[in-house]
Amino acid sequence: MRQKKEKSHINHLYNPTKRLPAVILLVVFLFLAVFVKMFAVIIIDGGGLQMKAIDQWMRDLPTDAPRGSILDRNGNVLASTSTRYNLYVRPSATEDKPAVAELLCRVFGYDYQKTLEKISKRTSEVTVATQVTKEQLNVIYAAGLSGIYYSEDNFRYYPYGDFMTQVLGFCSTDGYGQTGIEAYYNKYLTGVNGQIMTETDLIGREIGGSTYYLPSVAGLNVVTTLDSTIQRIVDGAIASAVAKFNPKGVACIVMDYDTGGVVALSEYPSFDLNDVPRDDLQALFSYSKSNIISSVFEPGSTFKILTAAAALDAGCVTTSDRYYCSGSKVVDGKKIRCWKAKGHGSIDFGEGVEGSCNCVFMDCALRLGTDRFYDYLSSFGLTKKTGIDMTGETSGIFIPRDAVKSVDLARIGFGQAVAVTPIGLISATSAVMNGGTSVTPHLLSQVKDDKGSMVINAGLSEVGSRLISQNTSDTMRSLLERVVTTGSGKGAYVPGYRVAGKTGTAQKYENGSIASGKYVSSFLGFSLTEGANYAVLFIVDEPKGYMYYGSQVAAPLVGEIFASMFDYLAIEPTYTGKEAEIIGTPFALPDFCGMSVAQARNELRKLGLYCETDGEGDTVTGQYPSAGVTVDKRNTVLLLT
Amino acid sequence: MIGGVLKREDRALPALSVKKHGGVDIPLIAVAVILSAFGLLFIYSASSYSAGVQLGDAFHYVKTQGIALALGLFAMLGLSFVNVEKIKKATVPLYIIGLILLSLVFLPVIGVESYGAKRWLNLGFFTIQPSEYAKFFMVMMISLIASKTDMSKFRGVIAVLLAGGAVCVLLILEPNMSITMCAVAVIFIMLFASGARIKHLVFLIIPVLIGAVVLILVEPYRMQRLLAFLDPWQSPLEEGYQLIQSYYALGSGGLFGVGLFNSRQKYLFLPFAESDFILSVIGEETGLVGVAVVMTLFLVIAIRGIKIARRASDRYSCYLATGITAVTTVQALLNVAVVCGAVPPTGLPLPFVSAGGSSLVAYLGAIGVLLSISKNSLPYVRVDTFSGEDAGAVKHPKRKFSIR
Repeated sequence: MRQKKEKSHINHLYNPTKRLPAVILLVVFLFLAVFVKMFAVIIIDGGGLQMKAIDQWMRDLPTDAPRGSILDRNGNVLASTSTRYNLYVRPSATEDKPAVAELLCRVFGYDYQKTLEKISKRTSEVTVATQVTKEQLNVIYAAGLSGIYYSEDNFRYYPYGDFMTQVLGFCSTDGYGQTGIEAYYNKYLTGVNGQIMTETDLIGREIGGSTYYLPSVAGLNVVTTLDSTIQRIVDGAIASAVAKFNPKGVACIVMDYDTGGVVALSEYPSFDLNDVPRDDLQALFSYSKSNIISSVFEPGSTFKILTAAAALDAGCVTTSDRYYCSGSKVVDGKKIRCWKAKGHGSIDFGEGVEGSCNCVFMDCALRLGTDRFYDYLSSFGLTKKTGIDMTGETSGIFIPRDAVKSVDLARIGFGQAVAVTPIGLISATSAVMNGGTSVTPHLLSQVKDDKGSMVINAGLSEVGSRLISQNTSDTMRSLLERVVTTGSGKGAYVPGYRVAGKTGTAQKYENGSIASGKYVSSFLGFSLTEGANYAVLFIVDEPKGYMYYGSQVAAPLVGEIFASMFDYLAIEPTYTGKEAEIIGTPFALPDFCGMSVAQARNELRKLGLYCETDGEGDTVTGQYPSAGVTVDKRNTVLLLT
Repeated sequence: MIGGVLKREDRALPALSVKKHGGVDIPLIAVAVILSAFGLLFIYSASSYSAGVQLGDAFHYVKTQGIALALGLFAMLGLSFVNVEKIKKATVPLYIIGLILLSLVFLPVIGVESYGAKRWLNLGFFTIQPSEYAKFFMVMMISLIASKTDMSKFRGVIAVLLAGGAVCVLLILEPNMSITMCAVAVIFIMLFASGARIKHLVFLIIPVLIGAVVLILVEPYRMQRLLAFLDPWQSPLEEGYQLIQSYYALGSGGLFGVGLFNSRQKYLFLPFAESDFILSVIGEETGLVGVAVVMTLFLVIAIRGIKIARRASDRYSCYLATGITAVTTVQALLNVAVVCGAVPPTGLPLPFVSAGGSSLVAYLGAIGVLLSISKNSLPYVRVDTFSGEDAGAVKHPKRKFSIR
């Protein structure tokens, strides 16, 4: 019995080695499986992993590539980048505070007591100077005083920063062009940053391995068509317009009307590019865009240049055509008034242009018809953007061709019921004045590398297409020259030189109706003198006071600009003997107050002065210039009624 | 009293022969010493920068490891001369000492906390990691139980689980998840090897899985860590960081490595470069070839260990050899798998190689025990009654049973 029990037990005896082969098989299998994964990581993914690993092993210090300069056509620097330094003092590390204060005062002209107080503050660090030059830094460094630290800073400087604001533009704090040329040609101006790669540990400590240098590539220099001297002349004229008329805004563009190269572009209000109001976003946004390029205005009389050119070129009118202006014209049963309520009477085409008679231009537009007129306007490039190399350009606004009624057509003829950009207007009229070929306004002349060799030459790119005949252009030149020698543009006359032009005075619209007392006064002048093929468009937005006529506000300033330009360009005057006749001898202006308007006009015509009136009355109640002021025949007299 | 001898395979040896079959297992010693020396070399390579920068002594880890290596070799040699019978007699006291040591880490002053876990005992001159010893004591205890119990019965399985479970509970409390998982794997391997029924094992797996799920739910960061290894780039600075750094090291190594001492990852990029991720540095400096050599050495340990188990003179020795081999192999495999992203990352040193004195001394000591078993090995295994004395087998050599 017992034996049997034992036997059953023995039958249960388990061989402890029985399952060991299974265990070893499992182990071998697992080793192989893990090794396969190991192989995948090391051999298959290895390359990619190593690339990422190298990335983390290297601390790369970027070295800023210097941004290219912006130059004017004569090589003058308009914007440049230089290395400047910020200077700090750590009071705790400063052993000899009086000596440091004395040094700072000597280098930067600070007040000793204030400086000493500043660097004795219980702070970890105080900034004592920014935009420190290398020379100044050397002086500081040579003194060998403890506690002074510096950091490098790329400093963009704009010598003409206060007026070239919109055209040059500015950069973000990290050196990326935001507006103007800085933004448009950022791709050229920006260099390729270099790198200093150092082998470090996780924390960034150097481990004594290799250091690799990847040199930076300097940005390219952008040579513009701008001329810093003409820009300065324009800036002066704008400053005097601001002083005289306290306007809401002033804008002026000077452009070569043969090539389309913009020589000067200046606007008020503005800010200094060297002190960008980054905290005042409102000012930043409104002042940094160029109104000449980005906004439209109702051109008024300056637009008549295009109407006249189109009508002459199409053969609808000839210079010998005669017109009768009664002070208004009825179109489709609607009476449209000429600016001269009493009418111009019987005049020929030339006199119409000279006197800026609305009726004449209504007639031109109506004779052309919508299609032909619109075809001319679009060939002048007004219906689309000019393509100037600046960001934010907009195009003119026109009533859709199929919606134009005769009334609209007539009004467009003298520059109402349309809105154009100043850049569009000057480009279109340039084609009229340059012999009839289209121009594309532009700012870029060349792109050069930092050694001065040319990379891109934009100057020779395209030849304009013919828009109007040479004959029409010649006719327009002489008609517009008469405006300056005998008409409303007399203020722009420069003795010894040939200047043509057209005044413009447009009433502003607010909420769909005419805003009383708000005008845009403009003058669009062209130098016909050989060697100075420049067009100048000068716009004064909402001049304050009682002077608002383009003839009084804008024309004299354009005259000043032309006079200074001829002087700067060293173009000798050619006197024809008519100068004295045009200017006359200076005399004291009589008092016209109390006279009837007709009588005053008569007196002024005898004196050879152009006159404008303000008011609907019959009696002169005031005048500008005042009685007794010395004037000559270039002055326009404003009669208040 | 029933005893017996199982004839080993087809070799018909004289029944009464008690001639020692085995001698000193030279390959095993060689592999253990080579791995330890390899470890010392790469601990120097991996830690000289970090130790120099952080501790001010480039040789900090090398010194500790060197001392441990000396102690470990001494323990290995010493234990190789200790008869398995004595080890068997000391099993219960050692197991209890192991449990006490594991409990002591929770005491203040003597218990040392690091990285949020209490795993070390501060013994004045040095610190030890009780878990490194306790897992071997646990293996001894399981071998003892399994050699005296009918493991085909569920109560035998339960007895083993209670002995192993006590250690596991203390390990979890530290907490030390990775060693716990190793211990659980070893317990299962030993249950399997000692003849537990497959259906019992399957039945046991279920609560283990439930336990794992509960652990993950209680501490959700485990779930994140668990999934991080699938795409470490999703959290390159958090969960995925260690694995990405290990990948960088391995990937940079390529087939032949960047050369000894030329690791870039050891410059603080790779965390625990001298311990848990030392294989990454080996991979970076010696390439896939070096990793393959290390893995082969561990495979040799596994094969030699199982061979010693198969030749063991008695049931206890057989299970003990199997257990020691299982501890070494499971931990090595898990470490390699973690380093190459085959399993979720857990902090686990590579036996013999990683810096860690307790670990090195314990593993070398365990090799000593394997050597002792090897020396006592017989051409056959004595099969004892489940409750009887081992000596009985020798006394009644005629009782031979073939259970093949």
